[in-house]
Amino acid sequence: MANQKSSIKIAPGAVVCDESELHGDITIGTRTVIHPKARIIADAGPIIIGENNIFEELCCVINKAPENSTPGSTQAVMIIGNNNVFEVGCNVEAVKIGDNNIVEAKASVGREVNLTSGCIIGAACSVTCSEELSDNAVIYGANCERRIQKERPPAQTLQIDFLTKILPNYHYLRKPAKQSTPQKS
Amino acid sequence: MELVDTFYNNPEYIETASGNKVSRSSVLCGSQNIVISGKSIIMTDCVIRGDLANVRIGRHSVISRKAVIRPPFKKFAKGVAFFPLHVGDHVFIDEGSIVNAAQVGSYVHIGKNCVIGRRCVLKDCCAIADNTVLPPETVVPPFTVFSGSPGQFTSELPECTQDLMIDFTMSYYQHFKPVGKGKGK
Amino acid sequence: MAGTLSLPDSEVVQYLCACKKWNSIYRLYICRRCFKIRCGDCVLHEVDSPYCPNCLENMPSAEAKLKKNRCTNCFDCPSCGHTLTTRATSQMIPNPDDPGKSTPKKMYYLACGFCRWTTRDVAIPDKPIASGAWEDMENPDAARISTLLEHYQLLAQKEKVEKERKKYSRRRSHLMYAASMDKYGLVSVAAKRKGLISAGPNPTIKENEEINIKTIKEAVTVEEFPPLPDEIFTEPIQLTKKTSISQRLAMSEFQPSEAVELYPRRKHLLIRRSLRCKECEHNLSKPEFNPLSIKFKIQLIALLYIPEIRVVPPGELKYKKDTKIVLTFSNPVNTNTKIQFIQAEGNEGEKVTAKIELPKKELVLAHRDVPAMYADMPAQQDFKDDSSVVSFRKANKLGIIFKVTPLVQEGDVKVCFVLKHDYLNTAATLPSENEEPEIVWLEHRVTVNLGPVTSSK
Repeated sequence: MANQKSSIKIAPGAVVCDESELHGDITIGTRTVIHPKARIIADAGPIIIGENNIFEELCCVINKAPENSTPGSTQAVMIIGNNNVFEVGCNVEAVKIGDNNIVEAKASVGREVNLTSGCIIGAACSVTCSEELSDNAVIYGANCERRIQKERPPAQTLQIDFLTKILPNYHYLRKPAKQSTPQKS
Repeated sequence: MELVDTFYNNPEYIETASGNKVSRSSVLCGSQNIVISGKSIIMTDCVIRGDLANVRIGRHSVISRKAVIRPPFKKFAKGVAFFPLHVGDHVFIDEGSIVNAAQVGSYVHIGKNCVIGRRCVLKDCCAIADNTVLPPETVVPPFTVFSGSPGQFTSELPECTQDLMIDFTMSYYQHFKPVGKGKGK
Repeated sequence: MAGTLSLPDSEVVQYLCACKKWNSIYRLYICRRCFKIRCGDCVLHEVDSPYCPNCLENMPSAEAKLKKNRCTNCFDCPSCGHTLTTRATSQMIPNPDDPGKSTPKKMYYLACGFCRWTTRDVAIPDKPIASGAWEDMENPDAARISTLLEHYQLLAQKEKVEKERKKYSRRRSHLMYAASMDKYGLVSVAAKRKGLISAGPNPTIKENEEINIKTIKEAVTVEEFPPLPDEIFTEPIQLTKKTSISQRLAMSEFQPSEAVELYPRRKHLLIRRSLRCKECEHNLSKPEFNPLSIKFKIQLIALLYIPEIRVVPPGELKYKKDTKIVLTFSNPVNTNTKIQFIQAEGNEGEKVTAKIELPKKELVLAHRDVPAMYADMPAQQDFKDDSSVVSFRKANKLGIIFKVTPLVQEGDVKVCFVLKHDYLNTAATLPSENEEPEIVWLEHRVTVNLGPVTSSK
């Protein structure tokens, strides 16, 4: 799994299961949980992940080169904010992701989409057009209907607490890059 | 139509003493918490999250390729808890479906690419059509078919559903045959 | 769709119902008194118990009717239709004893886990109790509907009284109608014999009755609509604040156009039903009362009494070429069943596109042995099968070879035959009589679709 070009920086306090697939230049913020079989692929440029994010199994976060790009063009950096949840089997290519977003199971978010903050992409919904979603937008249903929520979805702090406790009991973890604080379970 | 034989590559599967056929390329996290009662099939690329909570799968059930069985969590005032997930007997879960339910009864058919939301309760003898998204906490009563996104009641199953599911899952097991070298029966 | 979901409605193997409709065996019933196949269209459906599909609580039919067939506790989201869940929050409420302090109090609101709609979105205040506090909105037309209802109830009552009083005058009116259409004068003769031909309907009775019924306000046709508000031309429309057509139609009484007018709707009930034979009025299917149960008190479904036919996927089927195909027959009962085949005569609406040669001999289907099925040891019985007819035998299943000659160059190959089997009628004899159960031979007309014919090229 270790890619030659890979440079993965894991902040202390993050839980990154060894069975996850990480490629390329990735920075992972503290208290972020990456489940086994999650895929984060920094193909066309680095991926910077903030704090308190959850990446569930089979989710695929990929920094992909746009289709019409020329090989020498400038690299786009994919920045993911804090408190985001990427549920099972979702597919995310968006380069700009703010805070407190939820991408539900099997949803897919295209590269040109700007997830601002508090957005919920409902299960099996697909958003691919170039657009900036307004804050607290909810996309749901078979026809990807939209509405604006009054409050942003609550942060998953408690779930992260639980996962940081339980996951090290069952999985090998990737060590944080700087061994300043040893990983405790 | 009579079922035709499906063949699998013999070294790819492990057959347990109780007759379970489990693919080596399935991901069983926390396998000490996963109970599979017997004669069930777990196919390639399935993910079963026993590390989050106990998972029990009944007899003669089929978990098709790329399906995810994941115990659901619930938030409480103090912390979160993952609930155990029980799947009954003679259950067929088709390819690519994500099951986050609290309970899946017996004689249940879940179609392809479904998302069964958190803490859904699927009672005995019900069916979920292909590509259905069941939102969290949906209850599916016996002899109903749910489909769409959000999954809603669309039709009824005949009285013989139990017999059909028994026949289907049993003959699926009988027709799931190994080819090639390796330890077989 | 694979598996069991598509099976009940598949058209591969179809049986002819007593009402001359073709259906798959999974949708058919068998009446043990009439010895006839019945389908959903020729049985009486009776509501056993309405129940809520969410909380799975059942209620008597009368109560359900009173509550307009909706659940008292469960609500659907007015935005997406998913069931709403109750959420608890704690609010700070000023303490009545000490106005300076505030105490936390649990308050409840409804939220949708799918589209995230909440009752707070539309400014419905939180409730202090978890359930039962959500009152319904008053229907603007409630008064009109109830006067109309009363009126029609009176009308129905009157009609009933009239019907009972002059049952035969109604029959006369039928005859009058028939007489006008009568070419041969037979009806008028019959009517004369009964002494029915007289003057038209008796006007006096009707007038007397009509006094009881008050005239109600007539419905007014709306001819003019209020013009569109000016803002619609000047302000950009915010789609998120408008309701969709389906949202409006789901609340047919109010049909709100603004999203802020959405209100939780009570969940519709589903029913458990039992079925009765229309001829002998015996029950064909009666589920347990509990909506959670999948057991039946009475379950006379065809799949448990009639051999089930399935097709082993055939090889090539060529125009005018004899091909051997295999159909499997499964015995559902725990006694051996004899089967025979008869060429289908006449036509019952099936489209036959191939000739089929049927085995002439009687064959025996082994009985169904459930414990052996689970134990994986098929109890082999010796049947001395003729290998030219029997392709294989496995427990209660028998693969039988048929010779089929497609008579079309394209399209599906369909054959039709009559399946005759013996059936041990245990229902008709009382256990006290100590008689041998009666053996009946049942005949079923069956069509089998073998799939498309292979092109001759």
